[in-house]
Amino acid sequence: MKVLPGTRAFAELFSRRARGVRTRTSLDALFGGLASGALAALACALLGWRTGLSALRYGGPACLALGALVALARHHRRRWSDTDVALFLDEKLDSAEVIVTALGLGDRTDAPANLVVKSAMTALARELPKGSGPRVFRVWHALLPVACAATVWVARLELPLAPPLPAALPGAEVIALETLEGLDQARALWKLAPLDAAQGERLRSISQRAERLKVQLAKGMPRREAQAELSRLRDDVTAERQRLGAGHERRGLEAALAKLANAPPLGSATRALGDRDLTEFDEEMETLANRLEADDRERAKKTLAEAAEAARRDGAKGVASALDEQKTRLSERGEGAEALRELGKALGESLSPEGKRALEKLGQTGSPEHRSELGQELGKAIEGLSDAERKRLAERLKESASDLAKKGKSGANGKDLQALREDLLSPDGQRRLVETLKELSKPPSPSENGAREHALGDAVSELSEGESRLQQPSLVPLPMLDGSQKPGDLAAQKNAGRDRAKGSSGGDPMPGGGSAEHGAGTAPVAAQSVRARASAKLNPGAPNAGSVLGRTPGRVGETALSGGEGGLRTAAPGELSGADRSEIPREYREQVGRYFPAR
Amino acid sequence: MGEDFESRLAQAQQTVARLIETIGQVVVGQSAVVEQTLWAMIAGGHVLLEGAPGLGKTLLVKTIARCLDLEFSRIQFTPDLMPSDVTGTNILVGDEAGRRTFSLHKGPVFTQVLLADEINRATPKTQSALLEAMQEAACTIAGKRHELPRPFFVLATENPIEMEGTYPLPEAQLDRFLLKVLVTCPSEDELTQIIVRTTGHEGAMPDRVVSRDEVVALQVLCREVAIAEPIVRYVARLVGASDPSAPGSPELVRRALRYGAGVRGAQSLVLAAKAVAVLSGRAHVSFADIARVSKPVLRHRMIRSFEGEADGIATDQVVEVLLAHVPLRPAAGDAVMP
Repeated sequence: MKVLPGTRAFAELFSRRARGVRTRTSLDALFGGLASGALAALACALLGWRTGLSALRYGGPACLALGALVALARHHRRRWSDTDVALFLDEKLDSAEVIVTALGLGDRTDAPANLVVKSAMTALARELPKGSGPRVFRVWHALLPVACAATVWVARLELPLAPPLPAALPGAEVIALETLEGLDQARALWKLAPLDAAQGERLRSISQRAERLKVQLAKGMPRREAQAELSRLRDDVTAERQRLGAGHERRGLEAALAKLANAPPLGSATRALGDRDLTEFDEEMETLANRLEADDRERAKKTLAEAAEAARRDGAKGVASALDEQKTRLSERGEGAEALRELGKALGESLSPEGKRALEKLGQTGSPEHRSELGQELGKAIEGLSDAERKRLAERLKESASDLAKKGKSGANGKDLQALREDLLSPDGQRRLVETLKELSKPPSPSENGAREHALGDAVSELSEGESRLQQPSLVPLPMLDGSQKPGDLAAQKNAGRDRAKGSSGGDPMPGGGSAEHGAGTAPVAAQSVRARASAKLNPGAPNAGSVLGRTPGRVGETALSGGEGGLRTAAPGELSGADRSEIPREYREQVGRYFPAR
Repeated sequence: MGEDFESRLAQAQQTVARLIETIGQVVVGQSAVVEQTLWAMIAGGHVLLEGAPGLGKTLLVKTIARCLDLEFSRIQFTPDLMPSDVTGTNILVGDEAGRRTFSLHKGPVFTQVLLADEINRATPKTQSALLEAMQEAACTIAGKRHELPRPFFVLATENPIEMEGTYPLPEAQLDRFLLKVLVTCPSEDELTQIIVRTTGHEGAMPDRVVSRDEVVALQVLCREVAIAEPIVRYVARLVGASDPSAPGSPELVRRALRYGAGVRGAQSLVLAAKAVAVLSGRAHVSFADIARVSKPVLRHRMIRSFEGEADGIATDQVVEVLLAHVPLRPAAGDAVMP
């Protein structure tokens, strides 16, 4: 064995003892870090248990590792230097600082240094007294297993129920609906033929908002927000419905109405237009077309043309367009109705009693139902005619056409009768005639404006129903889990919700589409109670959409004659025609009107 | 080489043990005083013995001087003692040819062991005559520097300052004493033995048991003792903390002291500790050595404030506070001792 020089041997001996000391101090730091980490893990688990955040409950291993890493890093930064270790050994070995003195001698090889090194080696060769080494285990390190066990226990505990929620603000509860009345109608508004390009854009925007609302409702949203958005949609659709003759078109509408008032047969239609109810306007014009004779029809067409011109002159292009459309429809539908009537008359006794009654009623009321009934009865009568009777009928039709020609009415009606007569003479023509009669007896398709008016009206009506449904207090569409389900069983809940939702849409919405279950519901939420709370503040300070606060200034010459949107916005039923019913003398009102002429 | 130093250490221990035994034949008790005096002798420093009259201070010094094979002289300090009475002077002498020349008449300071008895009875001017001798082992007379014989060892005695007819030693002079040893009253047993020993036949004077070379060897050996840097730093912190204006000094220091120990105090601590190590047969200094010598080394170097004097706070109390206050390792150190 090679004998090392004193200082080298001392260095090796000291290094070995220092390694032992440092190992023990490192272990001490490690256990301390682990114990700290275990305490942190327990705190996390408790916090997770208290707040319901599961991730915190299972973060124990990470806390342990972090605690150990931090402790070792801290220990490494504050590790004992050789001098510290030497001082520690001197103290524990009771060597009167000979080790630290020898350590500081460096390369000295003089006699005193050799003696010091020799003494230091002698001291280092001694064993540390039992229990005097650096402590590896401390009392508080016992927290490590205790905290670990407690963490595991807390992690396995079931989460406590959340404290009872405070009473929710009205409308702040979350609702979720797969379907809601009015939304589908509103989503389809973009397909309507608009009055103009601007209305087309508005209708498209309404459809998009309805689509978004439908999606949000399916996901769940605060009731009040849904109500507000639905009300806004309804208001906007109502505004579009009232767009004809509103605002700057008002004067044009009034001018057209004044023209129409000159034609007494158009009275009902004029009122309908005055009310801007284009659906009723359509119906009235259909009645007129069925009822009016050719002369009256021509006069009505002329009046309509004059009214359209007046409206166009005063800037009401929409009103003029509607009147022009009605004029065309009056001509087409009127000629068809007249042809039916002439055919009915020509059939004479061959027409069934029902047909005769329908013919009579059609002339009196012009009802579309009577027209339809007459058309069907005419078809039946023609199919039951013998060849001889058909020939006689053809002759009578020929006479009627010639009569019309003599009376100077050989226009379209005369040509129609001539075509009917020719059809009666051949089997194919007879079949065509029956088909034509069926076509003529069909209920009229609404006009473009009427169709839009009808669709907008439907949408408003359905949206109103949707609003009513949202206001139902029993609507609590976020069911919680029942006792049989466990938290986390999301798949089962999702499927259950989907199946139930299918119930509502399983039936054919069209008439005769079969029965449908009405057990639809929202998928249960994966919790035993609601644990999250959202802010219930919705547009603080702003009123709900659809509500009317106070009065808005109207334009000159405008009166609240109808409910709905206008310059005066929504008018209550009692406010309609309020000026007419007031006690202010008519003369005074007219005088005041002269001081404030319409601009 | 290490064995040689070890044998020298052992020899030194034997020498000192022989000396202590011989002194013990004359001086009863006062073992601590004897030991501390020997620390100073080994470290090459001077000792100021303070105690009431009649406690054997002069006897102790005389005995030590007699035990050492060194030149010895004694100065009895009185208020009318002049500096030249201490250092000597040039006197005019005539030779056979009738010429007159100045000749140096050396004073009692030209010796190896000087007993300055009751040093605080002389005026400060006379006391200061010893300054150069004590610091540099030299004496300047009439502009000419004269080296003193080595080793030069001053053993001064003084009465407590409160006694009448005494002059406080200048701080500069006090600082030059390595140790200030307090001579306390003997115990009953010691007093009994003193009475018996001194009231019968006069005892024989002790022999010279330590030669000059042995004394020099002791002093050389003392200087060779190693001291670790942490211990030196501890000494520096200890002395630094005695400065009342230093940040972090103990509250008692700030209240009771006007000036703390200086650089000489730190040097003296290490030298005295080395002497203790030699006496203990060690080639290195320990923290315990520093603590052991701190009182005799520091007690006369710290100047009390008025408040300290008024409250009767002894400098020994201050040293105790310093030892308790100053940690062995710096407080800012990272290592934490278990």
